[in-house]
Parts: sequence; structure tokens; C-alpha cells
Amino acid sequence: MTNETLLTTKLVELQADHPTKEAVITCLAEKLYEQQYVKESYSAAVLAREVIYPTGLPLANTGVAIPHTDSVHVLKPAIAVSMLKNPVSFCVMGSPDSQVEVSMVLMLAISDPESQLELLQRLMGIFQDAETMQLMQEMTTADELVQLLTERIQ
Amino acid sequence: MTKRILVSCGTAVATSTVVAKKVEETLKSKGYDVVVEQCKASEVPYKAASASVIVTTTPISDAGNTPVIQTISFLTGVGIEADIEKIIQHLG
Repeated sequence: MTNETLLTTKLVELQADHPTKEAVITCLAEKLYEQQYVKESYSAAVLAREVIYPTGLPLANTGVAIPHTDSVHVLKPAIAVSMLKNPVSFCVMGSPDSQVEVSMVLMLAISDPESQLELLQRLMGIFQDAETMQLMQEMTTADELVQLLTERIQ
Repeated sequence: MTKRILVSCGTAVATSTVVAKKVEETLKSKGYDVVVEQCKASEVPYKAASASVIVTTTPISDAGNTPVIQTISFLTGVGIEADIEKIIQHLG
């Protein structure tokens, strides 16, 4: 598995404008489905899981969300990214009654948690790295964003 | 004696995998003899009894007498050290 195929410009959107978290999730799931990373059932499964186990994470300086679901809905691993022009509200992981304003959504298609552990760890490492988070927000093209993320998760 | 720590999240796909690894690495580096197992929140009732402490990213019920630490610090980086201290207190 190479990170090149995990993360491509076709799975990234910048300056995205979505009214709700459901709209972001549906849009990213559609990209993953079109590129044949996930099964048709993935989108509904992620939406349903987000209600029960929300994935909003209030970081030190911003909010991110990492919608995902069971690996049975995934064909091959990938990350789809939406950088939002206007933040949308997600419920906070572990605290469904609290909301966090999210400016970046990373949708995870995980096919095997054990083999993708390192990727997940690096990703969480990025969340804890204020400098990289700031850089990501400043990227102006999908190419730049993919390049930065790929560098940081390798 | 080896202490068991149970780490749970919604589907045991992404978050508990990361949390389990972080908890294990941190405690082992501090010299604690621990084994960390991850599971789905729904599996906690069957697995709680054999663990010294449960670390979870999502609310859980039926943990019996096993202490529960609910936290997302291992994902966000905010408040990790305080949570590690809490876990250590329960290792006895």
C-alpha cells in the first residue's frame, strides 16, 4: 500500500461550501464511490454511524471531523478531504450533546485497521501539530494539499 | 503483574486503534507492564471484568466495577498527560 493511492487530488476539495455535515459526508462519500474505493453502502453507513458515534474533534486551534465506518463497506483504503470555506457543525466524539465548528473533514475509508494503524497515527499526529494544520488551511490547490498531507503521513 | 487495559470506541476501526497504541507506548515507556486490547463499545460489558481500567472515546454502559476514563485527548492532543496520570492511578 502506498500513500500515493490513498490520497489523490480526485478525493480532495478546497473552499468547499456545504450547508450541513450531512452534505459534506454525502459529497465525500460520492467521490470515494466514483473512484471505486468504497461500496455503494458506504455513504449511508457513514451517515448512520455519525449519528451514534460522532467524529468531531475540537483541536487546540480548530475543529476537524473524521467520519468513517466499518471496513465491510470499504474496497481499498483512502482518505477524502474537504477544506470548508464556512465551518459546519459536527457533534463532538464521545459527547453527542456538544457541537464543534469544523473547518476540515477527513473521511476515512479503512479496510484493515491493523495495516493502516501507522497512517491513522500519523494523521492524529498532524491534528496535534498546529503548524501543519495552519499550512493545510493555507493551501490553494488540491495538488499542494495532497503533496503536503502525503509528506506528513509518510 | 501484567495489567490489562481495554480501549473502546464506536466500531473499533479508527480511533481505538490509535488510542490503544498511544496508551500502550506511553505506559511501557514509563515502565508499566501492560497489555492493551481494543474493542467496540458494545463489547465492553463482556470484556470489562478482566481489565484494570477502560479507556474509551465514546460513552459506554455496563462496565461493572471497572473504572472508566472517557477521553478524546489521545486524538486531539489536548490533555494527554492528565489522562495518562488517571490511567496510572488505576493500575495500582
